[in-house]
Amino acid sequence: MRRVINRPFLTQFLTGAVFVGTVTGLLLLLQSLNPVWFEPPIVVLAYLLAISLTSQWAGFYPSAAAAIIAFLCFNFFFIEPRLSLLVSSSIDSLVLAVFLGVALVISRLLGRARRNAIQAEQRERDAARFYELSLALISTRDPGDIAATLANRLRGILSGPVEVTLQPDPNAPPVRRSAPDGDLPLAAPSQLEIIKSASGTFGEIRVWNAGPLTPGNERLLRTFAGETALVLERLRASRAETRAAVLEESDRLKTALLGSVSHELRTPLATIRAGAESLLSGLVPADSSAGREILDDVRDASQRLTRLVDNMLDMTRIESGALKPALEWTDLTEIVNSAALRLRNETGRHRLEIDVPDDLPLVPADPVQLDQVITNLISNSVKYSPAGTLIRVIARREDDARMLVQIANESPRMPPEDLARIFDRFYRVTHADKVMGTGLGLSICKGIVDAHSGRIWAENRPPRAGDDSRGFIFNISLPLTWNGAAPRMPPPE
Amino acid sequence: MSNVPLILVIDDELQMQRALRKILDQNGYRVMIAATGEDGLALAAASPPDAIILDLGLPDMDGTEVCQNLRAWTQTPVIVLSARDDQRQKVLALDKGADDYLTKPFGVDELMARLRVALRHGAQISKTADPIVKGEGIEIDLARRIVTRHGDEVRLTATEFKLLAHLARNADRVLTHRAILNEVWGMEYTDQVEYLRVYVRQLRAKLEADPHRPVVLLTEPGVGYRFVAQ
Repeated sequence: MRRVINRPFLTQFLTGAVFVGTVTGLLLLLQSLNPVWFEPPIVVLAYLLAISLTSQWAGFYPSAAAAIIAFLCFNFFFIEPRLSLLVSSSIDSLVLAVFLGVALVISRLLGRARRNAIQAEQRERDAARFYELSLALISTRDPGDIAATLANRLRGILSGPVEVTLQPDPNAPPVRRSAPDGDLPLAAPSQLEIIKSASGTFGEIRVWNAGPLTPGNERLLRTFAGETALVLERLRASRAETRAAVLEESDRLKTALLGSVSHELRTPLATIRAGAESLLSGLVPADSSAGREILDDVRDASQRLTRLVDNMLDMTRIESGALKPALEWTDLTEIVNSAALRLRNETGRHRLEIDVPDDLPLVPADPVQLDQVITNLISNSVKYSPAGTLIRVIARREDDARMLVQIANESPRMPPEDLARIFDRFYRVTHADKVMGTGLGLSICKGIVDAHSGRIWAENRPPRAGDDSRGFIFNISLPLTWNGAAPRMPPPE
Repeated sequence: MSNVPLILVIDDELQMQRALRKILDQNGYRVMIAATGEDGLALAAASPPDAIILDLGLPDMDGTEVCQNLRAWTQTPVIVLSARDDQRQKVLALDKGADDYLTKPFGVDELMARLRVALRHGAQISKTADPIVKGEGIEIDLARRIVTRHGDEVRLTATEFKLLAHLARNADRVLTHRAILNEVWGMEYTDQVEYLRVYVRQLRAKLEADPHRPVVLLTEPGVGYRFVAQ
């Protein structure tokens, strides 16, 4: 890298002297070779060239010094009387005076131009470094990474070790990173820069530089500190925003849940209360057929309440991330069969067909949760498909890594825009009053399947010849491996 | 001791106590009630009951602890009552020696059925067990190691028989995966649920009329298996 500004002062002055000396020598040589060509304007131009070069090379002061040396040499070697600093003619005095003036003006102008060029270059370099730092900081959200990035970038520019301390969260302990890694000097740092923005202090940068920082590096240090403060401020804000969004979402959920369940809770509660009161009043004897009917209703209502409360608890658990499946190698056949057995009253008006091969592989699943998914989907099929139609549960190995489970029914085809949304909370395709339920069942299924690293989606059955009006399929894709491995099979007998 | 079985209920909820007292009373049992685990243990020691109904959510101690404590000195059948989200605790209680479980809310019929099985099993501990166990369509002669289905002998492998015999000896009771694996394969295999899945599937294929709709070897999801006797 060209670092003109730091070249030792003496060298710079010598550079000027060497230029002027060389020009003087060349001029003397030219004069001795061919005195006819030799004219004072050539001397003036040659010296001005040397001074310009010095100015370009070393800046104003060396070039001003070179101008004075040139002035003296000009006078000494080329102005009558030669080899003396005396001047005989007044014209020559004027020439010399003008020469010195022009030389100094050129030095000044070129020196300034040079300084501007150097500053521009410096700024460009700083801008590039700043841009690199910004890019590096954007790519991370971890305070430790941010501190390390900052320390390493500064270490690449400054001459001494750098330590960065950050505390973006006032309630968390600060993070400290240094470059190079390892022990820092025991002495007090040569520079201390506080990382702060309008909204507060985020930490500090400590530098052990060999000497004082150049103004450029000092500016860079401040800029880096400012940029880091901005990044941390943004981070703090985005965290607060995330928390706010979560709270808002959970608030919205609670409102929706209350709205949805209050009706659902009231209906069975009213049934139970009315039933109990009419039996207590003695108007309907408990052992009459009317009494038994009331008791049946009470039992059904309490079962509905149980399901409702279970669903609400499950949804809360899914929302709070507390739904952790207790995985074990599970036989889906068992799950499907026991669900079918338990639902035999509910599915009484439909035909339930189970199509599962005998050699279906085991899946890593929480059997209770998986049971709930299958139960919910069968129940849902019962609710939405006409009595007497077929509900099929199909399970197949899809490939070595996944199993596909399908629950197909003959409910009406669903508009494509609804297909993706039926797993949303409280989303119900038909009118709320037509079918009982909170609209939570399918979203619970999705929560459970997601927690199993599976996928659940719904589709309309491809139309078949002669029957294109109905058909709807729930698909579940489940992994067949657990931590990348298939189940261990017992040794053969 | 009178012939009427004595049931100890350990539950801290008043409504539950009242309901259970009424139900048990009407079904001809004698009832003792304790509201805490400590009282329950003391009552069980003072007047040994024929069966214990134990709620897992007690105020003073963990229900599983009560189970463990009881099993240190008595084989009295224990039925645990658990909330739906107590899956792990329920399995733990069964592993610690409880005989069966019911998930709240439960039906009266269910409770009575479980209680009858528990009492029968409790009575068998002192007597020699019947060597012949029957399930829907099948008969297992535990002494002669012969299994027949509608009178025809069914050939089982050694492990298949060991598994079936263990389930049959504990007919109508739920056995946890861990307990079965420990008994049939040994201590170091208690986490190998996949072994159990494979063998239960094989047994169903040989014994059930419709292996997809089993009526003899029932699955208790997340808990274990139950052999249904006739």
